[in-house]
Amino acid sequence: MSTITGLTSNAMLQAQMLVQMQQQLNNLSQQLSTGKQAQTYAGLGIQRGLDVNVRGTLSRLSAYQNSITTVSTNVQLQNTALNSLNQMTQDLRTATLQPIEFTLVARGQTNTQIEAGSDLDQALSVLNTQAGNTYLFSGRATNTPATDTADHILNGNGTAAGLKQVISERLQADQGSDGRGRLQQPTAAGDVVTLTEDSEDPSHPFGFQIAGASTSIAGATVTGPSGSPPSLSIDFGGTNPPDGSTVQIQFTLPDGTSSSISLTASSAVPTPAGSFAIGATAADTATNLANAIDSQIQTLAKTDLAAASAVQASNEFFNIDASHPPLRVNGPPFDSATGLRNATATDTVRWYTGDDATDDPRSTMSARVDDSITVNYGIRANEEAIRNSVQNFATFAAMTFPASDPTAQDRYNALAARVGDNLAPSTTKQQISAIQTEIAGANDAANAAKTRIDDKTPILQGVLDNIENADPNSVGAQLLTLQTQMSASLQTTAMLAKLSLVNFM
Amino acid sequence: MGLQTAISSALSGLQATQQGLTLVADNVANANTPGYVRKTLSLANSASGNGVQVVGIARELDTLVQQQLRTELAGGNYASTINDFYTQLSQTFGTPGGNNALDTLFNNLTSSLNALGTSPDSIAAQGDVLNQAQVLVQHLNSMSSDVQQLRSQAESGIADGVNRVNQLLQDIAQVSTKLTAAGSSDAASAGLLDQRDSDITELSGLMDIRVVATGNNGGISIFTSSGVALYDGQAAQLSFDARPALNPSSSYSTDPTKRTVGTISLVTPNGDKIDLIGSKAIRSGTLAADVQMRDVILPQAQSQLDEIANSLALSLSNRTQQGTAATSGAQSGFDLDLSGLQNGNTISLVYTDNSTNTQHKVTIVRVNDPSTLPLSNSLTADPNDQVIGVDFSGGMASVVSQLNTALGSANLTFSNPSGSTLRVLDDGAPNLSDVNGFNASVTTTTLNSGDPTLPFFVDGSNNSLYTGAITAGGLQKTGFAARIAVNPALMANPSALVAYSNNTASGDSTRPDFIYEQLTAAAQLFSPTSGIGTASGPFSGTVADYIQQTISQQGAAADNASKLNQGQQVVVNALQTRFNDASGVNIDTEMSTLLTLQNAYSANARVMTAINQMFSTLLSIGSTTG
Repeated sequence: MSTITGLTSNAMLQAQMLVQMQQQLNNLSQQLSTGKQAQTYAGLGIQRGLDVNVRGTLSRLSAYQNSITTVSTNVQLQNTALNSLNQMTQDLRTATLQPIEFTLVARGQTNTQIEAGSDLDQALSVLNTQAGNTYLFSGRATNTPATDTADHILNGNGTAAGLKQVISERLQADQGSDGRGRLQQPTAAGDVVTLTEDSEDPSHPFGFQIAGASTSIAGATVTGPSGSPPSLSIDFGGTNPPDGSTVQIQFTLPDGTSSSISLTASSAVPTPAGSFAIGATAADTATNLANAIDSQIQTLAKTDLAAASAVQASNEFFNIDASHPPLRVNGPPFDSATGLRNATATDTVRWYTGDDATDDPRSTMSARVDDSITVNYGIRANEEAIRNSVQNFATFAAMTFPASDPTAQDRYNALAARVGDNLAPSTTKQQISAIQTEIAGANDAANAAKTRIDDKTPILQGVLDNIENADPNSVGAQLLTLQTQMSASLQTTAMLAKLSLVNFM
Repeated sequence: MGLQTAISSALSGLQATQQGLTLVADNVANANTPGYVRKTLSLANSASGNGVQVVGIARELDTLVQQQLRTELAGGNYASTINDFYTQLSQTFGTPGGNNALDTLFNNLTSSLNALGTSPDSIAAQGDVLNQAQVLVQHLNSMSSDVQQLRSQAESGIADGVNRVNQLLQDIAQVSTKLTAAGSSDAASAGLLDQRDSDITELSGLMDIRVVATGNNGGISIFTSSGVALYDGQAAQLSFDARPALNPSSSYSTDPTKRTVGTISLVTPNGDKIDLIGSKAIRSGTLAADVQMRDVILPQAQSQLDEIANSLALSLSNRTQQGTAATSGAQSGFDLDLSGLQNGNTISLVYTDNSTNTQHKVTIVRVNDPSTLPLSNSLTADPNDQVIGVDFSGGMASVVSQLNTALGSANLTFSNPSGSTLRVLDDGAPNLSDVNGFNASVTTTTLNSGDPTLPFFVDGSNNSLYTGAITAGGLQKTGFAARIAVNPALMANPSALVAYSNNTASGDSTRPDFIYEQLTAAAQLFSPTSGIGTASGPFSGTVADYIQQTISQQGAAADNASKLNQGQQVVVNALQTRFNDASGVNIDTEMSTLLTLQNAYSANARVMTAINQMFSTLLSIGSTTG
């Protein structure tokens, strides 16, 4: 049984208890006003470890959200740029497929070429798209534009040569000084016609490479190409070719395409175009054939070979990365050049000015969007698909055709066909759509992460709220209880105080 | 026997009642005086057989409760002092989730790094990382200074406590002297006893003491509960050599030449000096709590902060220098280039003892001062390694010879084939040992070394490189939290957060990703001296984990201290109530005594009146006849 004592000696203790209750009251009302259980980690109870941990996670998730926003913005901008590049590529290709209409409109160019020129301007402009201050097509070099200007690329910049000069040098090297496309003048010895590549360097990459020959002349034999320099011979075998029999010679051109000449034996006078005259003897006919071949290769050098040369020069100008600088004809003299050399930064314009490392371009821009997910969405403008479009726009735009030149139209047609082929969709080359698919994949992964984060955040926030927040209902209930306790205490104290014997004496 | 006797009996009754009234008045007046013990009158039949005699004044003292109260008071004051400190310490960790909470600041830094990893070229993102890092280290600096301020507060708390102990002991001595003079049980000596008890009770709040009664004359001796005499007829004199402002490297040592904080010394009457802290003589009470705070709890908090600062700096600045395989004849092992090795950097060597087929791990630590050797095995957090300190001040030849001395018995041979290359080879043909790994952890000194590591943080005292150096002055780690700063070279050139070499592309996220990974994903071991983890099972986790652990541990400790305090206060209060019930003044009791005394006084007076009347009657006999 506990004793009941008056206030007297225990007044201090009871006052102390009342003060404690008062403190509790303050604490509860602070909880009510701040909505927080405690102002220090100590007050959070055993769940404080979880609390700190969840806070860390929430902070991470919010950082991921920001990263995802950046990724989405960047990928959208990249996509828009690539869409327009793709559209230009398809449009130009369609234009080159139209029945060739060779009408020079201005400065020795056709409408389609002028379109290619403006495509080049636009392509370069979209490749220099920025998100804020970040260039999106420069790989890791996000503070440098991805490309140089169209003017510099085509016409050069000071001492640095542009595409036009590179094409012109390559053309000299491919055509050779005598315009025979680095072939020696065909010779006839008896009834044997021989066609030989030039002797400067049997393995140089310029001009025609003889690929083979065929003939319908009965008894005739074709030998080669063989030897060094490679040589091809057509032996009539003592028979004078009859009317209508044909000789065909195939060449491989610098850009890897092939071309051929075809000649028909004819006794008509004058000898029609594309024919060689049948002479009195097989040996006479052989001489006529050699002359006809000579004339044909000189024509072909101005048409197919010239177009192929321009395409190849453009390949060598555009296909660059850290370990592959642009290639230039080693000269002067160019028309007897026997090889290519690496261009230097000062003598040749680099069309691509971004980061030119050779690792996966996607890895050049990355963002962490979830604890274990990093998305890669970088693009370099010198990737095959993008380069191919820019390169072909530039090649087509770089060439001009003098109206007075009788070979101009054929050369134009050869060029248009090549540009059209190169811009056509292909399964062997990287396509713009493939880049788009890859960055869309990164964006999808980022969006999926965003959805997860959006789902997770309120749950974690709930955990945090449970730990940190004071439940107003429970605090209210506690306040009420405490209030009751305090009034009871105070009342009892008052009653005890009255109950002193002093009051009854 | 007669009326005269009756008068004198009544008179003695009146006198005793008056004395009783005096005591009631005294008791009522002192009802609220702390330490006042209720006095009652001891009465006895007068020696002559007539009347009443006051034999003394009794103190209604329950000595058992008093003893318990004193013991618990020491515990109570200990708990409440610790709690007061913890309340302040937990403030420095900030409001949960608040802008100033340590974890919030760290999370802000990692978030800004994630943003930088996404947009490495963004000047705003670079600036944000530096700002967040700056805010974080400044917070570490200020937390560290808070901790040291609390230590200084504990130091001056001890000084005040020691002063008070001396005053109390002096008082006790004086009162005891007076008591011996005053004799046993009069009112004066009861008052003196009250005063002495009150002094002793206050003393027991400052430190845990044991009071022993000596002789029958109210003599006492006071000892600490560990047995050191504080008062034994003579008051002992305590002294405390307080130091003005404590810093992280101030620490207690039993060796007076190494001690950089104050200690409590007791000079015994015969002149011996006892270090009460070193001999752990004070185990409870306010003083013990102050000492515990100053020497254990707060230094531990400091070392947690230092550990955070240390791992922030080293995890970003240290790169691994791999050894390259080397052979000589049948011996095989590794070559390691030590040109970049700094004071405090470590070389990790793993070899197998083939006779027992056990793998051993050796951590070789560079120092530049031979006086710091040998190093303790607990220098590294790893419980399984053997730590060998090597003095590099004597050049490579000396390094080789030191290592051969230390590890020759393990069948390993060290040599210096050229320059600053260190070669370790096994024993070759006998095949008693195999070297499995040899690499170094080297602090990167420049911002554009070509490696993603960088000296992001420096030792702010003179912006020097932080390598965890070991010098004669102590560990660079000690108090690093107070000095850590963002490298000013980095502040001047924020782009170095991305540019790890002279030609790093602006969008290259290698370095931001590295920093982010190091802070949030790279696990490391943390030193158990910080109180997190144990020597055999050190805490392993990321810097983020360690920060979370620190907050959690500090929070739990503060919460614990608060709960302990609450519990202890309940015990003290309960005892105080019991003590007051038994020994305190109860007004009701006093009033009823008052009534009794009033009645007794009236009764005695009535007796007097009656005797008076009887005398009158007696005397009137003569007057009416005459």
